[in-house]
Amino acid sequence: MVISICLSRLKIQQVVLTSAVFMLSVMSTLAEAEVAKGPKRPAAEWGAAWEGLYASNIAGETSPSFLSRVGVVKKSGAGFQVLPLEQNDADQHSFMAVPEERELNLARFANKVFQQNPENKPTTNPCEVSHQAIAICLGLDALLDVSNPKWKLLKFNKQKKSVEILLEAPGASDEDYFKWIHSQLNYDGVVIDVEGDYLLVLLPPGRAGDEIQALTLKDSADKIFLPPSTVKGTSLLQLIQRSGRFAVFLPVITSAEAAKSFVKGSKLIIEKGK
Amino acid sequence: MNFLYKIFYSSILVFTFCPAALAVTPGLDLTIEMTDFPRQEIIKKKKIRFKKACAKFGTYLSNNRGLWGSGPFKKVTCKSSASGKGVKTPWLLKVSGDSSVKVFEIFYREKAGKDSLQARYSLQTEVGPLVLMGKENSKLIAFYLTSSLPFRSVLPPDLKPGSGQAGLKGRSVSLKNMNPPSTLEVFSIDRVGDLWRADSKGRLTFKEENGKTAEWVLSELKQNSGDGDVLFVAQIENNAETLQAVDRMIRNSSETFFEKFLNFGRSAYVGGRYGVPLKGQGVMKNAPLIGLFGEFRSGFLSGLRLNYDLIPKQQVSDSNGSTSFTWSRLQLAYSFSKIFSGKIINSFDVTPRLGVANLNYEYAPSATSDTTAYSFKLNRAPTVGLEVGAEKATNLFRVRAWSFGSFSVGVLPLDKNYTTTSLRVGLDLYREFISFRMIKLAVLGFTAFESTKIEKKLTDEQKASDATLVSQLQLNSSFLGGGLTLTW
Repeated sequence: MVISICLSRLKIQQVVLTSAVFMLSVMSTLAEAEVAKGPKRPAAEWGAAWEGLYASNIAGETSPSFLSRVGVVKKSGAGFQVLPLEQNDADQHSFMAVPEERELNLARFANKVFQQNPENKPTTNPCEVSHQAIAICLGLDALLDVSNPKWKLLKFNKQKKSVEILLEAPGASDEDYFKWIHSQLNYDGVVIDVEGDYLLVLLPPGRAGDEIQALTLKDSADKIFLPPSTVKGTSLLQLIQRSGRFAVFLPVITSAEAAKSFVKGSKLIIEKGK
Repeated sequence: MNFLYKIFYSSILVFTFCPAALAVTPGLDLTIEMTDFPRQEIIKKKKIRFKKACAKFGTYLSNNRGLWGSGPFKKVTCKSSASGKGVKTPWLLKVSGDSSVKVFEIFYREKAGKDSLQARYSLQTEVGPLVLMGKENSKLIAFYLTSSLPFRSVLPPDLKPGSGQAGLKGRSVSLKNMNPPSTLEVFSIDRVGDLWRADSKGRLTFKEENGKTAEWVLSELKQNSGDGDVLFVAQIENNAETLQAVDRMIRNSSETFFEKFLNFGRSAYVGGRYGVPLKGQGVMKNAPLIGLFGEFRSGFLSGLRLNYDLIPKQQVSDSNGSTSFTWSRLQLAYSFSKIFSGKIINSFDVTPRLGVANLNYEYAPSATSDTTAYSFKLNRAPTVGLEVGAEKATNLFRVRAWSFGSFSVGVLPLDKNYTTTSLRVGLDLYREFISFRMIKLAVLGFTAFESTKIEKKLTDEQKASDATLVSQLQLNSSFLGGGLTLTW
């Protein structure tokens, strides 16, 4: 069922279904054989290694073409209140990291105004006076401002100097912010590194398990949002290894346009596998 | 080569070196500079050399050598000339002030001429700065300053992620009313413009204070911190009360006897309250409670409390006769308290109380009644009692539950025929609502229950008599009321 949905997105005729399934099983066997030659390590160790690789890739980019760490703010007095979020809740829908309450407390503490001069004490912590200050203190690359009925998604460059309004749209009523953001993106994961045929992908850790496959999307590498009309699959990927929010995939069915989507920043749709 | 191999090994390199390369962590060298003091006067009066005093002070500010392992600075330099010119370290501690006030300020020097204040401690004292820096209380001042910085210390460089045994060891301290912080946050820090960006890396949990050493163990450390990272440590839970206690200790230890005498009333509170009876019978039915109270919080009288409570004269009459009652109590108390950072309560105190009580209870039967007259009279009867209390203070309110037991000692001629015992329990709630400079006005809500028993010693003759004699009086009362307190 899932396979057939993917194939329809790839615009491959039903007639090749049998051969595709055959190819998939052959490629899968070959890929597993190759992985078997690699170091046998627990998934957590792979996760830690990929986390490091991801950090270095992100650090090297002025402004990555996806949302890596996002906070949610609401207007409060002269500044903003950063809403405490649970990473586990965000993980159900999204690959993005969120600032948790403990990190908020730490940022507030590190920037606390010295308390011996109550007369001179500003009413707002310097960390929460502006969107930019929040982004700096919490190391965010994007902010969702839910002060008004029209929520606003802002993106910062690496130096946190420029702010771009990515999206301004009526928000959801259930305050499930990451579900809402995810519904605007129209994709599930991002390619963060490529080596040969293998793709290292960032995906929502709370979604599905190890029984997943992915579909790369055409012309998506430099876009943060993909309008539904432009979502077009180019290649079907098979899961090789997964740990937390990282996974390594191998293409098993490709189209003529697939090569263009095997680049950093390309977006993917994740489907439940067979 | 297998892709997974490549990712793994390149990641190890990144994991080891990249975070350090990316982080723009602040340098950790400090210059202590003394300004604005007539040096010859200081030296003439105290005969202490700046370098010696500064070296001692600097010790408590450097690498985990302060109280409870505080002290973040790697290298401390002393500079006695004023102006800040020529200071090349990223951190500057300025000691300034005049003959009556001494100020310690730590600045982060982002650029030359652009210093940003990070911690400040000021002290009203005539004691010279070199004495403050060179004596025992210098470690308290250093602790106050480092506790106000974005980081109180730096993890030792031999701490490795996952080693399990590593932690932070620090000088043990027996500070009155203070417990070491239960949790310390471990993080890396970047300076971005005027802001600190802090990334949480893990936590240290207090293990034990053993002899001369206090120890925290690593309860959590994320794997993504490499060997090159500088890992800072801070207490992010509210430490305002600890700092207040440290401040009181510095003030007490830095005052000369004359200053202590002059300052005995510098920090104190006074208040008044009025309570209406919740449930009472007879003369207690409508008896209100009026009270005045106060406490010294500085100088040599610090901890001393005074209370005066009064039930004004009450009179009730019925067909059997009339009863009148009045009561007052003056108490002098000294409170011993222990402050800690608990979730349910913040402090616990034990307060012995000495006092005198006056009581006049008279029953006069009517002409038609067959009852006999009796009276109980206490005139300045000495009382001894002990109160225990537990308090929880938050930013919004302060609530205190207490219990008090006392008895009177029949030593004075008028009172030796009586024995009184009293048990009280109560709950006080304070909420500040006006604050102007050092003066704060708070509203008080309280409820209290009191049970007092007065026993009259009967003579042998009275015991042998057939007449009906009243030898025991039990007064139960409960109050609900409010009041005002003024704190300075």
